[in-house]
Amino acid sequence: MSMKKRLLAVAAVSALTVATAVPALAFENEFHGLFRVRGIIDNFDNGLVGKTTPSVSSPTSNYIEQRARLMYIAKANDDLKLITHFEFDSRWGDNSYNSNGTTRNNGGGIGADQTNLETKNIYLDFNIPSTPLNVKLGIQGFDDGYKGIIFNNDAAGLVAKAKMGFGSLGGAYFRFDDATTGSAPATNSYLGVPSATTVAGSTIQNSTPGYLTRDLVNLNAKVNVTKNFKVGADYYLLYSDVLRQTQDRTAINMFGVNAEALAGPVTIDGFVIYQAGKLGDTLFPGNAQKVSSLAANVGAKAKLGPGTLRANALYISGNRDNNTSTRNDFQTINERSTDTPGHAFYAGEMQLMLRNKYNMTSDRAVVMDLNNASQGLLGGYLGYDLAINKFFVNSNVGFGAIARDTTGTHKGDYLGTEINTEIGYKLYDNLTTSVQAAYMVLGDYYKPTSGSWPVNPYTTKLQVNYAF
Amino acid sequence: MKKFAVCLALFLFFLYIPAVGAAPIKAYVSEFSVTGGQNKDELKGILQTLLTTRITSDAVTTLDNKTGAEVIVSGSYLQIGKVFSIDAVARNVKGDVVTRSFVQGESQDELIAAVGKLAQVLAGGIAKNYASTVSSQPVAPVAGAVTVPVVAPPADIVKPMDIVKPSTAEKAAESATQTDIIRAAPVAKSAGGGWVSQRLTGVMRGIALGRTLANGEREVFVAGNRSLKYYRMGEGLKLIAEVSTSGDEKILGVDTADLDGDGVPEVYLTVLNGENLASRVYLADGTGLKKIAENLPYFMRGMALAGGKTKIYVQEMSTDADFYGDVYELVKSGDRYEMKNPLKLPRFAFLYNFNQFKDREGKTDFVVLHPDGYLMVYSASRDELWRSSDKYGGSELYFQRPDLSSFRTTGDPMRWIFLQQRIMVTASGEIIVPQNGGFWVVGNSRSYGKSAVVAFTWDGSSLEERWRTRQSQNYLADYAYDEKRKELVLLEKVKKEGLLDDGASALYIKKVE
Repeated sequence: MSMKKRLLAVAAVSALTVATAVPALAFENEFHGLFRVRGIIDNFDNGLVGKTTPSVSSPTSNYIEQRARLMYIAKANDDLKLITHFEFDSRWGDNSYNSNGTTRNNGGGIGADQTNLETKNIYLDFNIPSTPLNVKLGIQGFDDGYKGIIFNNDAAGLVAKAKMGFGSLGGAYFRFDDATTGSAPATNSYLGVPSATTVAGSTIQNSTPGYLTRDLVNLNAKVNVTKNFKVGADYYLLYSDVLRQTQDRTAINMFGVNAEALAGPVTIDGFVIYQAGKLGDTLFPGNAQKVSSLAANVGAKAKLGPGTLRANALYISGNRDNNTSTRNDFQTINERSTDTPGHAFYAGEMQLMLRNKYNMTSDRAVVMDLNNASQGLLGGYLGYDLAINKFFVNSNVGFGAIARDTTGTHKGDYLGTEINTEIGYKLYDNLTTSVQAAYMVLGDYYKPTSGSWPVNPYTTKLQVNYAF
Repeated sequence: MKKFAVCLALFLFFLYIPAVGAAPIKAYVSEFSVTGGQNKDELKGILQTLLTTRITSDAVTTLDNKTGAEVIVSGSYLQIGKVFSIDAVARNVKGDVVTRSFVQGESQDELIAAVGKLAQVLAGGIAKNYASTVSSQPVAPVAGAVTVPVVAPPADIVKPMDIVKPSTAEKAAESATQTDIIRAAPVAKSAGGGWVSQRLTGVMRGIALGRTLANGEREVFVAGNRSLKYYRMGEGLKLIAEVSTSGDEKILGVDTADLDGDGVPEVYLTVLNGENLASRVYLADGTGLKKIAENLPYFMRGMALAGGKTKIYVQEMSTDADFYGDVYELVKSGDRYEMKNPLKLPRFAFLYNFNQFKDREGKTDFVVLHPDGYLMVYSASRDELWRSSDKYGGSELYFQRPDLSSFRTTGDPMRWIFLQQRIMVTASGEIIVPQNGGFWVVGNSRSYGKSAVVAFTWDGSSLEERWRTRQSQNYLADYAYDEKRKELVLLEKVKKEGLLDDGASALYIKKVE
């Protein structure tokens, strides 16, 4: 056999080997998405993000914003899939052609063409063969098991969960920040703690990835005691050494337990989280503040008449004085911008007092960050959901007060009472239209020492929501 | 002179005979009927054209219309998977069969060649047999008054070609045209083949059969979103009674079984009340529906596992799991209902997407509809044995549960949980599975537009298709199978629900034999 023929034979055998070794591609394509448009008239926000402080001058805003999300899932087989999720936001009339120098959350201006694609999630979801272990690896959303008050956002990380006979065991790791070069836009947030510890102006000098980071680690276990009684336990570590060039590191340990039980017609759930550890602060260089703080919740839900009654109570501990060596305010997780919490408590179903689940680019609340400027929160929330055929009415009343008056300058602790309602109609199974309205009567916390009271916040919205 | 006359006559005769023998037979190829496959409408015309051009020979010429045709060729095209079969029959103007034949192929690549072969065989058969079919009683074709043979109506049930080794091609042709294709029984005025009910207002979601009465009528229970209707099915559907749910109670299904053995099957209605299951049991006494149990915290489905006796099986819902734990048999003890005899299911299986069948060794295997629609077979030890290439099942029926923890991802405060079509297993081991197809099935948006019911048998290695119903242009919401009468009772959505329109449904009966 000549050399040329041998080479051909080897090539043919190699090709056959490869062809038989590679399994047939059998991708299953799955699509999901949403489109939401909201027309808003209120005296409460201005289409932006952040805490709203009621004031005497509260002009009325009116604007329309929209959001589209597209999720594509490529399923290679029953045990392996890639999840991608993209988002397009804009406020009608805002901008087009990238002409204002920004890209995301734009494109509603005349002409429209705008580079505004946001990548929300990209991660791999796979099962480890011959084990009960499922792994999600990449940029993904996370359910903290505590109604979102620890971490309810998207981040890059790894989440592993093993279904066991008794329930489940799991763990997670997220890298929130890897600060390399430049000036920290909000240095406090690199710590992962709220705005009360803001020390502006710190400059990060670092060109080594992984040297200055903010990370979250979680270990969790869930036990199904019975079909209708579940208990969970978690350990969270929030660690940040992003600002270690100027102050001590932050390492906050969180120990949480949660439970859910069905007792007759009532479903009861709740949790307790205790925080301990140290909090870096430029006021205490080389000697971080000690953290000892608490958060707790109890919720209940029951069929009542033709609808469902909901109730939730939330406690977030506050701190009297931030200049002491111990901090008792519950340390919440923010994004890098101090005005953007990485957590939320949507179960309260508030529209003004707390962040609302339907908020999009405009996302404001009286208590935006549950740390509430170290004052904490005492909240009680009642709701009633009624659905009759295609109509539904969801009504809520919420009461809120600060847990500690940090400054001691307020006339009272009571933040106010919010009443809100959403009346909707299902045009199609996936398409819902609704009118939302909320009004908050401010409490003594906002009572002025002299002069006029701040204007009570209100909002009205017309929303069209299509989710598939 | 006489001799001359005889010679002249013989001469003319010999001149005439060849002339008559050489005249080609005028044939017309009518449009094909097409079952299965894609682009059916196009295929009907394409096959007609292909056969028209290829059947032309010295003995046969083709016409563009029936006028003047001496032979009319009609044909059908059947495709199952990639395998296709073309069956054709040529008849004279009286409707007598001149010849018939078939060809089959493994893929579309073989289609044109197969039509060529078929044309060749048909042309030969026409040339050979036509004279004999018309000689006994010739009928002169009259323009504009051609007797068109009556084409049998499409069969309700279509069986695929068996792969057999026939002793002769003729035997195979007989087998193909007579054994594998079972035509529907004539439409009967009573409940029988080809029966269709009056249009029912509203999009119904579940159906179950009750007793067969002495007069031949059958009890039928049809569930809508919030109502259960009790009909008597005879010449039409006669409404006997109706009960409704209240508040935000939503009906997820209806089933029947005679758990107490009194000869009267109870009606099991799965109801979701808000976020909790509050299922009910009714007794149909001939005049109304009497509630005999309520607030049962189960999903319920009537099944004859492995073709056995029909029983009710249940599964629970927990605070976080939509279908919790094992499936149990529901047992009636006096007035009480209890869960007994847990059944551990294989992967992907839950109450609404599985059944069991006996394999050749007598072992009880599982058949399951995968969440993506593939039909799967698991061994008794829950190991996967086989899965289909095509998709089956498909349901628009769903319920919702609050799910705020996923809101960031879904943008929807509710989680959607879709149910699945019932899989039935007959006493003879046939596995009956619906197949809804659709033009819009994306995420939680489901809108199916066509359906069929398919039966399989397990050959020890894979599920082999035995028959299927002719494709309907409607979404199949649910179905029941009357094994004694060999009839499928199909509940189809004939009009979608609109903004100001409740939509409409209808019941169809298809005979399996």
